Amino acid sequence: MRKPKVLFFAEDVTLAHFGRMAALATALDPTEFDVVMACGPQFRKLLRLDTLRLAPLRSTLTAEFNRRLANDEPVFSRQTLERYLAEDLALMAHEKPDVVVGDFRLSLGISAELAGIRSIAVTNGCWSPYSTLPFPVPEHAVVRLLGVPAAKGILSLAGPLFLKRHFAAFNEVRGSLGLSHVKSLQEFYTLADLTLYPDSPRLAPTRSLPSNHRYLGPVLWEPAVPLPTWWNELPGDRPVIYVSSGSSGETTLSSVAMKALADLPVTVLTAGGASGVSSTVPANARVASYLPGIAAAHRASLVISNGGNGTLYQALTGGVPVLGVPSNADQYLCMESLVASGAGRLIRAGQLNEATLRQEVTTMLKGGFAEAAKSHQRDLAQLDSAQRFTDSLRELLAKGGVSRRAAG
Amino acid sequence: MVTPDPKPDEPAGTDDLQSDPIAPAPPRPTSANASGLAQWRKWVVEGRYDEADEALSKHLKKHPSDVEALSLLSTLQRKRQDFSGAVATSRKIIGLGDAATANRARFQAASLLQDQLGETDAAARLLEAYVKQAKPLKPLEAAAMVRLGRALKSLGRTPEATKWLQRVVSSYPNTPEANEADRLLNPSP
Repeated sequence: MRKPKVLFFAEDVTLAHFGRMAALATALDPTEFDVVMACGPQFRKLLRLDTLRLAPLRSTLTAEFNRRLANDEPVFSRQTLERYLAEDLALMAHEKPDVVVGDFRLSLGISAELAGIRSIAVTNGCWSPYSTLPFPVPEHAVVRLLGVPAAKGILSLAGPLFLKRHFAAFNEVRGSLGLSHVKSLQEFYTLADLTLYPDSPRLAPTRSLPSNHRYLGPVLWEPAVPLPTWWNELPGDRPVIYVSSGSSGETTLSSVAMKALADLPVTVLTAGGASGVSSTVPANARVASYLPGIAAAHRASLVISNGGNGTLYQALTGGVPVLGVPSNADQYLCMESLVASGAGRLIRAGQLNEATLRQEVTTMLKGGFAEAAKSHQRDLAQLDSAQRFTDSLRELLAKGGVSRRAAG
Repeated sequence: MVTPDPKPDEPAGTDDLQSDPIAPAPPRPTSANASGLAQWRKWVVEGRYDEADEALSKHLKKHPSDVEALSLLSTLQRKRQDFSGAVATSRKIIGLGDAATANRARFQAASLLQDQLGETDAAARLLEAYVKQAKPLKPLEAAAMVRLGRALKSLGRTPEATKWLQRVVSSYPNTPEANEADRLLNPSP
């Protein structure tokens, strides 16, 4: 009997989106599913993908993604979406999958519908149309110009218009193809036959969720890099602080953190990403381009990150609190929820400086943040994302049966 | 005037090609129930297919020419993997919709016929009609030409297939469609 074919689209705008697709693709049983992962070259070498069949995919690179976010431009222009659509359709026609799975490959909200192929969107729960989280004030030109309180007032009034710009191109393309418009940014981000949240309900709460929107629990992954030579030589008498700015975070975070914490009785582990760390490394810091993030986070007493979903759950599954330095809306949504739960604190990226960071770290190492993080750890242990993903996939396939593959 | 696509037993691309694709469309039946459509669309997005199906069927019994409702029904049928039903609905849209709507329905129906139902001959006829429309009516022109090339190739109409595929390579260089056309023109051993 033919195995159902699952085609993953690993959009490499950030390592987190790419990593989650790789984690879910490798979690599927190859005796039950025929798995193909389409991906670009950017992050391929960082993850263990040797069990997967790969197909080439062009996507918006991280630098371009960050530039558009910083300039308050929609992440996907009409031109980009049309190029993605062409590539999606060519790939689907070639591979003839039974299901496509995307993580921020937003063109699938058009291409899968056109091709009649069932689709799964993996999206942070904070972007659910059914989310109960208030929309945050991200780093934005208005914030830089007027400050947070005034920006909050302006964005609360102009917010819907501001957000509409981000899905206008998507609706233009849908309209040109005779497909109905989406009504919100949240619908744009989650449009699929099945939407799965790599989150816990506690940190990304929703209400009145329809049956085709579900929580997976955290999808953990880490770069397939060896432990650094200094891993077993770290001092055992002082807390370890793991600093990861991620691929879409504040690029100066590692440098600021190392300087801020240089005089504290702590050991700082830093992963600077592809761009590396430009400043001098203090005696109490250890630096690598990439670290196995789960191992590093679980070894730490505190994680400092951009506040994004990936590092946040790496930390919480080890019962470790997080000090977030968010800049984009996604990171703010994740962090504000964590702060409300008592397992984290945040510094706005626009207000990051050494003194504030040192003060926050000192506070967090003293207080009850670890207990709150351990409470999350217990909750998260109940959520097996690989099993939930497989179960959801089986259910989706069973709804229509495995489609017939035609040769023409 | 826009005419329906030829029946499967008619010669490919006869009446459809004689029509003027940018002539004023016939009066389009407006949806009798805009708020209903919004609700049914919401049900489709939320996976509440049975409810959407029941409401749409009831509506279309009263308003069988409502193109927006038919489009939503076709989406629902694709999502439920009822590909034959989706093709039949698309054929109704081709007959009822304006030129742009009809041409989009051609592409959608052809994709399903080709990929899901294995009806290559019927897909080729729809794709031939699609690519011969005026430029603004075919936003997926390159994709359609690749599909047509693939369909003609598998029907043994190799010279015609080669012509379409070469046209994609020359007119849309460095695109995913050109790569796919090139793969079909020069299959690896």
